[in-house]
Amino acid sequence: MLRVEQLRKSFRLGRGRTIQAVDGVSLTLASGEVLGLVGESGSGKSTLGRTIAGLLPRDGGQVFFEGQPLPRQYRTTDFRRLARAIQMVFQDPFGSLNPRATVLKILAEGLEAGGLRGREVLRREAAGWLERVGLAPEHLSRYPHEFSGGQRQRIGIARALAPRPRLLICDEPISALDVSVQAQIVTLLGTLRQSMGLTLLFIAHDLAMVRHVADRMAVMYRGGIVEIGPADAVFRTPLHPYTRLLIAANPLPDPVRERTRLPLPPVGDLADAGAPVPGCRFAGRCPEAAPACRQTPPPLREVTDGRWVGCWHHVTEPRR
Amino acid sequence: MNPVLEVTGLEVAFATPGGTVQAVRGLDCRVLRGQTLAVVGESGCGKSTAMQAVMGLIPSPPGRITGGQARLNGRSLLDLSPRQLDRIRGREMTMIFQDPMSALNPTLTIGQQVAEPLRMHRGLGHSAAWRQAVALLEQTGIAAAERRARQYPHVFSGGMLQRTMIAMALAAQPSLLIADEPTSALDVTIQAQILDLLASLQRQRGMAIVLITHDLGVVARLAHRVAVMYAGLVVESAPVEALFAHPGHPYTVGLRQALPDPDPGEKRPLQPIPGAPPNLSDPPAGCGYAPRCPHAMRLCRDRPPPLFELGPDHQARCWLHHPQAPRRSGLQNRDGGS
Repeated sequence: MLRVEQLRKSFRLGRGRTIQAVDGVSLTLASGEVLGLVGESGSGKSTLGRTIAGLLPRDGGQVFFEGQPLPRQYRTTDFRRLARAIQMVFQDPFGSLNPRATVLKILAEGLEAGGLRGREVLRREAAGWLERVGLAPEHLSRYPHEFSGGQRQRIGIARALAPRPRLLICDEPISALDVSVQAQIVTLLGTLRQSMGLTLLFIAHDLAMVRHVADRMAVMYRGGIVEIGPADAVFRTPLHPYTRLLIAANPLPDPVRERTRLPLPPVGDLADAGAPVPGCRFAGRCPEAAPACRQTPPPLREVTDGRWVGCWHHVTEPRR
Repeated sequence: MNPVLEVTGLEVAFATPGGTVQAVRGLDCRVLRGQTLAVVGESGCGKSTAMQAVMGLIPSPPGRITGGQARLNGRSLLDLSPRQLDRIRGREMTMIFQDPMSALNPTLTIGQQVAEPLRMHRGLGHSAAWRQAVALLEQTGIAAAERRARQYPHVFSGGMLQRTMIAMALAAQPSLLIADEPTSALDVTIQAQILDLLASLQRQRGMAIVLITHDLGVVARLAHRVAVMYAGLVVESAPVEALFAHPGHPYTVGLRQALPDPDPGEKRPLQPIPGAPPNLSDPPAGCGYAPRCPHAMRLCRDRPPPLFELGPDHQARCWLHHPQAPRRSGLQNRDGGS
């Protein structure tokens, strides 16, 4: 359904410096699939999501949706034309909803983008969407600030789904929410995905949660994908040293295991990792880096069935 | 052993246009030397407010401490004058926050800011304080501390800023450190390093830590004891192993079931807690968790449950532990079985 090829996006930092936020990412999403995109801040995962959704123009590469190329830079007409293709849910349910619009108005915009017209139709459909996301029709006349964070995220989901898109990109949809509400939203997304036959790109930093949501998982570091594969397999037996580090660093709600855990290897901070080296993007912090890792970037290779890793330690052929 | 911090029956209220909000309706806890107490709960449960009250940081008005006691090394904190508090705060007890950038002065170098408490509380001269500040930054794991000390906060990463805050907090060698969501804004690899750092500093210095967090993983990593707060009240209090092995309050059970299973080999569906916490401007007559609780009885909605003793140092505020209540699976029972 979605094919991303060699997507690149950089930002100017001023004084002539740029940062390569997404550095040649390729991935595919099959219809009905949930792909989890995991990484820490600065990994480029949100930029990748926004670029795919057309909210940011890309510098290079191609994005195909159901075989059709998507424009490099969207015009207003493109957003209208593609409203039923891709929609997005954001992390901050405060900042992403217009504070001066009622819930009805917010949802009506989405419904109109999906091609619906007529006051009564919009009202009826908007009420239906509120029920589908676990809110009530009487909430239509209220404003975003009258809702809790979890309720606002429900409104954000209803807004995104109202045009009936085929692909939903969720950018950290639960990380601003309380634990008990996170599970509510994840469960809601799962239900809607099934009933609507949605395809999902789920961007998050929490591997354990992504494993629950996703069929496949892609791990990003400094603008590139370092590992991609079935979510469960990646979580159980991570192959890339960075994926292993992410899983080892995540504290588990189990004091017995936490008491016996070994301290992390001294991997430092991204800020200490220094400028990108010509080789592997993780070499600066990798506990297993060999001199050769700093010279040539490792290719993303399929090492076992459906499991791709970009690490020289998993390349069996001779190095170039 | 005498506790470093002992809090009993603490209550805090805020005057708001919508009426009085009873943010903390009852907090009892104690922390021993060299131990970590985790105060756990979701946003609005009162965990931060309670500890701000202990630190004397509740703005009044609109806030007011309406009841209870807090003692630091035996000395009552809540009736001290602002000047007396100033002498204790930063010296005997210090606090670190989720967002270190907002707690640092952007116009002073890192080294100057770490040196300040050393001069103020330990009476060191300028150059001695500077040398000590650099040593503290080194101890908290800042590489090239001498050079970094001359830099300003904006060039530091989030992890380095939090290390700086920890260095400042430790400067006066406090007996109590209150850490309010110290790693919630950090990436998981940096969080792990900061948690390891706090644990090792505690072992070296024997200080008591109150860790305010919503993250049960962080609790399992660092805490010796846990107090679970809900709707302004401690609903369960236990040694960390007992809390995870035999949770005694349905809210504690609910929090755990809402999280992914810790075991990579296991995968069970997430079980969300339905609904939302009560509005504390109109606190419920009975148990605040009853509307969301799968085990709630009529009694739960009518009368607030007292604390029941479940085992050594393990209490839960839940009617299910009344001798005449029906037994429920998944909850710690009075006789120690589950």
